[in-house]
Amino acid sequence: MIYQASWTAILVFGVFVAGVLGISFYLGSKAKSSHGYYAAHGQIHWFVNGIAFAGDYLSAASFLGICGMIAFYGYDGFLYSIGYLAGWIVALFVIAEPLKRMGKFTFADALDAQFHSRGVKLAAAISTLVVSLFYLIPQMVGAGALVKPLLGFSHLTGVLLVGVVVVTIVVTAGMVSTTWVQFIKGSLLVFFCAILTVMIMQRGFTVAPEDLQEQRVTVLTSPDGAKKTFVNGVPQGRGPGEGDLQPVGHIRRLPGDVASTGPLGPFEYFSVLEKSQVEVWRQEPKKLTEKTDVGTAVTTVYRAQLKPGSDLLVPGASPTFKGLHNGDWKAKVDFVSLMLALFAGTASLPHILIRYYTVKDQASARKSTVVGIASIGFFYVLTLYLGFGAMTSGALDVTNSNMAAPLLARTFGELAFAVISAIAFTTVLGTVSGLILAASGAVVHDILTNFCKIDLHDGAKVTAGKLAAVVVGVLAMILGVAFEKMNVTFLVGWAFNIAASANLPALVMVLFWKGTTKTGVTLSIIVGMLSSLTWVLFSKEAYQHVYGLNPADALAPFSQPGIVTIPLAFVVLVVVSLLTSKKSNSELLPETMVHKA
Amino acid sequence: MSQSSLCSQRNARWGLRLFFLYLFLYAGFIGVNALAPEVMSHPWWGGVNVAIWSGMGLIAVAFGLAVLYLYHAEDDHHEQGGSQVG
Repeated sequence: MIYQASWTAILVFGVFVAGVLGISFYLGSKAKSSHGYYAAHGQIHWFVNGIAFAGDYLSAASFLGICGMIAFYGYDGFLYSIGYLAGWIVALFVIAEPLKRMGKFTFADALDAQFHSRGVKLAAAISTLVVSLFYLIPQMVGAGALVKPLLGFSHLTGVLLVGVVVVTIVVTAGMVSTTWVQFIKGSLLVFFCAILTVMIMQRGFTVAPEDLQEQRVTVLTSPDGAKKTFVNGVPQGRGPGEGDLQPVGHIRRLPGDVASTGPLGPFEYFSVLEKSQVEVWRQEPKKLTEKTDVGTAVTTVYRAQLKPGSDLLVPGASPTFKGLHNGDWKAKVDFVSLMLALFAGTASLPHILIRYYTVKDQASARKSTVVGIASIGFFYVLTLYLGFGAMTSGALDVTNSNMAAPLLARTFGELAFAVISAIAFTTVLGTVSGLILAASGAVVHDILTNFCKIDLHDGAKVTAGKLAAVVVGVLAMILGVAFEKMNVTFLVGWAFNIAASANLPALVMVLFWKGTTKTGVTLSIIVGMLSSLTWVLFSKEAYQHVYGLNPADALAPFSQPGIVTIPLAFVVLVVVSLLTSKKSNSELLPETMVHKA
Repeated sequence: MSQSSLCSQRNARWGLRLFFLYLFLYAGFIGVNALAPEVMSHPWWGGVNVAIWSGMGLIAVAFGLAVLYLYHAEDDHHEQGGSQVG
């Protein structure tokens, strides 16, 4: 769909970004030491840190991806909400306090607290980098998806814009300004989404007359490589003789055959939807390819389908989970694996873990987690209303599920659209700056200082961190362009799988099993990371959307590796620890004795 | 054993109990979805189905357990009332 930029949107957007940058510069002038840069001097108030958790965690994926998935497929998107929140239980009850007690800057500190091993530090740092980069991809894709309709820029410009602004924030001030950006963004996001939810319930449902049944998008590639897009047979555009995709998604029948429901209560909203008929749009699985004199035309067909609301209010409507109802074991394993990865992934995300070092003690770590759970949980309940609101407001772009939430806001007027889009953009800024900071901390603190033993003085540590932030930022921009076509929530699901496989077994076992050895930890991280990463790169989604290959040829039997790779990393840790603990006993003998024997 | 590590151990014990309680509920939700998905579409209270209630319930229970933990947890250093919310 072609989106027209509006001056209201541009103005509100400009004010938001200027405000965020202004705060960042102001606070940045206060943080000069490395402890200030990476951990905000450990002096952030627990309440601010708690909301900043929400700002950090409620990423573009939560906001844009989940809303989009619910808007297209119903309840399936909410499964992510449930899993993302459940992960905080692991963070609060198992990880938070010991992690705070044992570390200083990064989670590698905590892992390595009793070993003082360079191997553990290097493995933890590499896994931090890999997870952060993987988590950065959906954020950048989300940024591109947002800026397109808001400012009328291309995906590439959107990605570049976010990259430059975020690197500026991180380079300016590090953790202090990042925390405040996340605090502001977290508060705004939850507050405005609550308002939007109230507006959705006030509007209720209205039946729309039936019109469109099919939309076709054809991309014509001429022999010289130039691409041209056609919609329903005419060139895509707003001029005479041109056409564009129609916004879709309506209620077709309401219970009692009424035309409109009027305002609905929070539970009534679902009981009415349950008994309604909803028009949803699905992409035909096969694209039509035609070779002509002027080039190759690839046509994607989207068709309207009438579905009972009751089918959309249970899991199983999306392509990922559709096998849940027909006994397909692969779909069931995929589902269990994803839910496991979401549960175990939160407490393994480096950018979440570093936030435990910004508060002063374990009590603050605990309290801020509870504030985080309250605000994040409340937001995830809202995603259901936002998603189903988008599904039935006649605002969806069939080609882009990530735009559902801002397009829903547009149905309430240009201002609502501008505010929600600007918040979504700051959402991307908040999360991306946290991730870049985590990655830069891993490079400087774990790799340069602790692994390579380069003795940097305090100022040089900050400079090196800023340099690392620029490099990671550029990498994130490149990946954001390459993965443009994928739903951001799906991508985040992968990042959780990798984080949970690489980091969680090591973290849990270091905290709870005395027999853990440094070799066990190192190998567990490496095996967990490589196995899950390889699995993801050989999955059918990567084949289809990233390499453009036939998804049927994919080597991975199902998409979400967690159910195999998380236990695998645990097994590796235990087996290697058992083997190496015997060896280390012999190593404890004085060298001379060993030689004589 | 120091006061500090006693508190940490007490908190860890509480944390693990609550963790396993939640894990049980979460695993139950996943199990029903994977093995008996038809249960999810049954209407429950107020004309709203089991899927919506159980999903929202899991979110609400997570918050409830978090507050319970905050109430029971103790601080490592001797702070007056430091374990309470606020």
